[in-house]
Amino acid sequence: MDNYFDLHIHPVAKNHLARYSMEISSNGEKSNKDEVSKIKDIEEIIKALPMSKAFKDATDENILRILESQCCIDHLKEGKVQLGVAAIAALEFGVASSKGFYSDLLKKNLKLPSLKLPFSKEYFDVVQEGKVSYLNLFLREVEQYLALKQSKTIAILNRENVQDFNKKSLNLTFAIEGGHNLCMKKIGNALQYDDFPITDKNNVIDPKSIASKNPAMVLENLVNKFRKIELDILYLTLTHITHIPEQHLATHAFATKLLKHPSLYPFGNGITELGFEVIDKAYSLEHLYNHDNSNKALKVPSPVLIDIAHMSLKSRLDLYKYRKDKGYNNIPLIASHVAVTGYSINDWKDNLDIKKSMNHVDQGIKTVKISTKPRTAGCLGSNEKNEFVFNPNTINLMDEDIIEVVNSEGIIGVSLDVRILGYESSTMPQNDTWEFITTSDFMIHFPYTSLQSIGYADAEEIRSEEAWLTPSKKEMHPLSFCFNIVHLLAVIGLKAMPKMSPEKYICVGSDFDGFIEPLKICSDSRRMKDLESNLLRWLPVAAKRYQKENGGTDDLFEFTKKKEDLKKVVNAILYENGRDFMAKEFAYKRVKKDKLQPAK
Amino acid sequence: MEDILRDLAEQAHSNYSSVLGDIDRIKTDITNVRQGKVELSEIQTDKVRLSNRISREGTAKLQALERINGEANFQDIRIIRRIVQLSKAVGRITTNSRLGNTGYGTGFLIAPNLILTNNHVLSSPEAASNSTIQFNYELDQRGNPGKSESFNLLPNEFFITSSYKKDSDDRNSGLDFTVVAVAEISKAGTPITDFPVARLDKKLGKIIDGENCVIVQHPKGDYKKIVMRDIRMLVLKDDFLIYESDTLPGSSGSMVLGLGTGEVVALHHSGVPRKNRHGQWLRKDGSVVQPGDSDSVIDWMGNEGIRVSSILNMIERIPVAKSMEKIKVDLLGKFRQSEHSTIHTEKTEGLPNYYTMNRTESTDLNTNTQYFEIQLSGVKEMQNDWKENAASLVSGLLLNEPLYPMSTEESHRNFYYIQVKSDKSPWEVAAELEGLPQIDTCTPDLEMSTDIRPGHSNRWSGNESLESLDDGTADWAQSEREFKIRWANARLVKTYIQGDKNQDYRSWNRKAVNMLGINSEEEPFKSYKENMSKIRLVQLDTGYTDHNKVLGGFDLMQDEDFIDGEDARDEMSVGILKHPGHGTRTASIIVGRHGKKTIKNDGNSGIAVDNLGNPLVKVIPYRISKSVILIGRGRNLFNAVLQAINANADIIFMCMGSYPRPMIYSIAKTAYERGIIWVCAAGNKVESVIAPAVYPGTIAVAASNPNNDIWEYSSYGKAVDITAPGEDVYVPFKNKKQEDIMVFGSGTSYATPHVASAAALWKAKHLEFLKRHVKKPWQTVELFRNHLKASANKKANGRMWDEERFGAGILDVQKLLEQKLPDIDDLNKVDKLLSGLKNAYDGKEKPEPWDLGVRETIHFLWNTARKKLTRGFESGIVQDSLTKRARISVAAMTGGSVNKVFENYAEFDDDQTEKLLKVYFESFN
Repeated sequence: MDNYFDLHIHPVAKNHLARYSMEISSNGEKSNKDEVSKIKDIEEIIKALPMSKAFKDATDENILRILESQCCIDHLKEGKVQLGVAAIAALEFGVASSKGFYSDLLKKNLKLPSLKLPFSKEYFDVVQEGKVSYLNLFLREVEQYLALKQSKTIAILNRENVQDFNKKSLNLTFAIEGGHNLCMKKIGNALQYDDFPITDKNNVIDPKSIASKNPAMVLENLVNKFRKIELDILYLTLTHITHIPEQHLATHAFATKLLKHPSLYPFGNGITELGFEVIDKAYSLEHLYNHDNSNKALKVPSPVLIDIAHMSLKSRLDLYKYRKDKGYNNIPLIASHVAVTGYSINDWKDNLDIKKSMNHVDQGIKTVKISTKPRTAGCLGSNEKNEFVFNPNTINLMDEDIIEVVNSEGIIGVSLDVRILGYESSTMPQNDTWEFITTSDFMIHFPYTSLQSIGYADAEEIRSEEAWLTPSKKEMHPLSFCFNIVHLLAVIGLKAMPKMSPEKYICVGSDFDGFIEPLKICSDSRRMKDLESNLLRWLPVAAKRYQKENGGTDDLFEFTKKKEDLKKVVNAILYENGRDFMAKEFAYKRVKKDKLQPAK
Repeated sequence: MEDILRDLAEQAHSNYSSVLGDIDRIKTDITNVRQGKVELSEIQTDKVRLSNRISREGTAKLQALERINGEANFQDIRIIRRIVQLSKAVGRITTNSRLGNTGYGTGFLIAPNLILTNNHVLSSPEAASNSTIQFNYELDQRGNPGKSESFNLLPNEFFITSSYKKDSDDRNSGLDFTVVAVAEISKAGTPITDFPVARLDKKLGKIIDGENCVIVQHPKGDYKKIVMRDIRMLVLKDDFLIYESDTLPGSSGSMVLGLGTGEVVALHHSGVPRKNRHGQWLRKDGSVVQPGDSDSVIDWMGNEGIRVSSILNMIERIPVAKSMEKIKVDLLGKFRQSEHSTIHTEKTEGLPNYYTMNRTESTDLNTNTQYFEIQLSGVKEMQNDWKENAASLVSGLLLNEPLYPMSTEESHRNFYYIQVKSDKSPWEVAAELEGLPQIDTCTPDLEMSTDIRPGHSNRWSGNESLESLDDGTADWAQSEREFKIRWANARLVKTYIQGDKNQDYRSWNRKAVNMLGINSEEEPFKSYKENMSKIRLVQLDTGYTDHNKVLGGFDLMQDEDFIDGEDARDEMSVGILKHPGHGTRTASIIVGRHGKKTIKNDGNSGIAVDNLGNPLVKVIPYRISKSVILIGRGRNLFNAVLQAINANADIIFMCMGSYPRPMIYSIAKTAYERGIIWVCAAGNKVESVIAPAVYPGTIAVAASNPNNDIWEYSSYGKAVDITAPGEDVYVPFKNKKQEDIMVFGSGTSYATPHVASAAALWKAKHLEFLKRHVKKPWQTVELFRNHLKASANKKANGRMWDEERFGAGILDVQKLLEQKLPDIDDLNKVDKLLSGLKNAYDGKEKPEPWDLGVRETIHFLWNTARKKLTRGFESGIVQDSLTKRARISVAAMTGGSVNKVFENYAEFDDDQTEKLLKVYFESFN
């Protein structure tokens, strides 16, 4: 294989974070120091992030794995990733203010300035102190992509060139990861708006021109401007990993145990009114399309797709219902960087470990800490059985989610983050299968379980935890990744109504450089080839073991029986499916007006 | 007081030392008994006592011995019953000294009209006359405080004492006991004869060496405890009985019982400290005790009680005044008669099925944890330093967290909440913390009482029985009868009462707020009816119940409990501190449905229900208080409001309140800035509007009655925005059979939900407009406030409405909903309207920075004043005395002298209290 596709990567995120600075010059004007204009700058931001030896010496190996560049432009090119969706996510307040590894590193740096952190303290400061808005930070990152585009370092995939993109280059299109990126308020401040002091002709949009400062309007302005300058946005992830009190769009799923901050707890009970407004706007966006080169341009529906990653289960269910009610069901859903629980919602409920679940109150924030017995994916070895299980946390997809995506003709990007891919009995403890969900979500999912009866987490213990989990050396077998794909195939084949063969709905959404702990077999974008050979080697094994454990007819994984069929499927997952999905989604010609026009 | 206890302990120590040899021997013997090497009866040296003890068993010697030797492990259930019964004779003594200090001790009834306690608890008739004894101050089987009964002491009727110090000139000294007469009727009207008497028995043989003791006490004034540890009697020394020590010395005046016989053997009076060679007291860790150490630190090696027989002998000797002679004779005569000790058991029914075991350990752990809200300096470096180094700045710091962990707003970032372990008074700790450069203010987060006293039409006058309230039930028939008599000529109900139209007069409040003309199925109401389901209406109260009146009216998917953290169900707990169903009643005024024959004597449906009586909006219950009287810590309320903000609430309503404080001021301002309409009760029986109603951003509601006059107990002041029906409103309740009924009740509690309903209807009507045009969320609140005031009924009672004290007038829902906003597309007019609104906090970003001493005084006055207003209300939250700083600040504010003012609550008059409260409260407006 010569080409790869990745549905969810952050190619300049780490460079952006490291180079960020904001200085106030002598005349009181603020200026960008990380402005990318010179050739030298461009050469720098496409490279892997340099880390000083002192820093490497002082930092835990597992944290280094998270901080090291995984998909800088150079890596992507070297790994022959031809098409990719660059997700942009401004660092959230809760992440910047979290206990755990960032704050440890920042503290270390105070004592030892020679460490040279691979991220700018100033970025953390502006976030922690709410000096700017998330939109501001978002736009700064976009500027870097613009510079890369202008220097022709990368190509941009958009609606105009989707049929004829530059096969010799890296082609990127964009995604907004987290509705917080659309927020014009100063970070953590419900009252003050960012005044966007830096006005520069290079700016992507001038936020001051946005009449109404609500997120739906920001999205509209942003997308229109993107399209004008030949960029495009494929999807919007409605929530990220923290609660954004100044602009609450939807309940997020508890995502990470490496950090600790109150905003990481899920809040609310699904999608809010403001969230629905954003969805309405995303789904009803249009684009002017000059279909026959005449002077008459047509308005063509060209929605920004909604990504279900990071949404809480209740938020996802709210979304599906809303799509049905509003006639949006034929707009494809995206699951950009996910794994599966292996359960249907009812199975998941049945496997709640009520004895390990408890009410949880931390800093006045009430959630329910739940623990779920994980579902077995399959076993390997005969004597000392090594059992593989899925990660049962609700950030992962239930079967119903898979079916929704497939029936909407959407696409599922499987993540390479070991933290969500599951567990392996021989090497990994399963004791961290707990998560937090909001009290009201709990009551909706488990209406007959009394919260009074399940007790309280020990307050002393909650207080003393620095972080919920420290990074562990998760040496994950490639089978874990394969089991996720096999389960997707099984659910699509058996439960959904696919118009294409099941594998066509699956691709890779690695989440590289999104501060993940990557699979060892494919620790960065340069190693897509290794992922390919591992899939060829282990996918048939996973299929067999999965069937042994979970049953299914003989012809369920027919493709694993012939080598050329297997190759085709792997090829599809690693490249073609993504390419085809993009071609279909970005192609106006395909669009029939009656098809995408949301019925109101 | 401290010195006396120290003297006592010194004496006890010398007694202990003088028999050290015996004690060592008996201790060795006890160890052998515990290990099963010898029998208890075999270690006795006093054969006479042993034989007395055997004869007390009233059975054959062999059997008796078997029982005595096996008692620690196999105890007859009858003995436990007897002990439990005896424990009912034990009460908590609260002493009030001239200096305004409050102290606690234990005492017990030894005759139907006499109690026994230590001399060092009640040293003089004067001290006794200022003190009370409180029975039944204990937790019931479910851990809820029981209904306690306080009795005054009557030293003029009988008083006899033996000083704690041995005076060689006075042969009647040195036994440290006092016997004093007690009132026949409690303050709540219960006769003293309801409590059993622990008769004292002069005869020997109630206990033998090494046998177990049981101590019944109120340690430090806490709920009654029985110490059930394996505590053995060590030795008898003259008039004293020395026994093993628990971790803490017993409470002065505790009853010491012999476990084997279930009889009173001694009156506890002191612990015996361990000392070093130099006579210095030692801590448990072996170091020398320092001034200020708490009892729990000291190594107590034993306890000392005064023998019952010695006390009786002494009483016989002490001469008394003529008037007291008869009582003394009666007392001793009774003792003489009692050949076998009998326990006075007039009341055998209602014995508890089991009793709460000694809970001292858990309370000990918690007692030292103190809670504070702090405001950091505005200087960023100071804030950062606090974040990093708080633990090294404050000793005993258990917790340090920002109150707004997700906010970068300047007014939020300096608010922190901390927990500190300390033995000092919270006000002293706060003063120390305020000494740190990082901290601007530090206020203890103490439990506060609320203003809302349960009110039912017939229960405001002093003589009425509180019975039906205490058990959470009411009498419907009487309630309605009284209503009809009382309001026979009232403006709103006169014709209804004459025509006996009960459905009409029961819902007089709907007429008062002009609801009768509104038809939910007709325009214009109909067009925005659907929006009602989008309104999120949060109730901060005691939680919900399943009363039929409000069935289906609560949103039970979103409810939260900020007390226990469970769901918000009101447990309908009974007892004086727990007022059941307050949240149910206040919610019924919003969502009360037609009872559809499930409620006897149904009537009065809610303001926000449709023509069929179905609720248009659901009330989301947040439980912030277990009782209407005790609101708990401010942090609970703070968390609840923060949660309401996070849950995108539109309207919050709260029918209780307390005194103002910085963190609640801040959260109220935050809610306002988020556009939440927070409707609050103005308060009951307080001469100034309470918090949170007094804060600029909230909507404060006073109460009116069926005559459209002001309810006489409604709080009032400039802060009041509006008045709504609050006196004798028909609300759900339970009768004695626990059936769902309705009764007439009173309070600004009931006025508040009228306005909350109106706010929900108003917001539903203008939802589109508000969503489209309001740029600064607080403008929603001000728009509502303007409409509310403009539409109020100012001529309700035929006179000029007193707008200075009771807001704009009586709520008029129909007119409120007729108020017009500019056309939604007329941007000019909209702009003009919105830019004309004034933020309620303009110029009031920070409330008056009152000195810590003043804040302390307000807390003290508030809780004490509430206590005074609430009969039978007893609680640990009432503070002993004021610190010096508080006294100085009060002196400064009132112009009095430091020594004279506020030494004792009884010494300052109500006017002074109210005046101080008013100045303080209104500074927050």
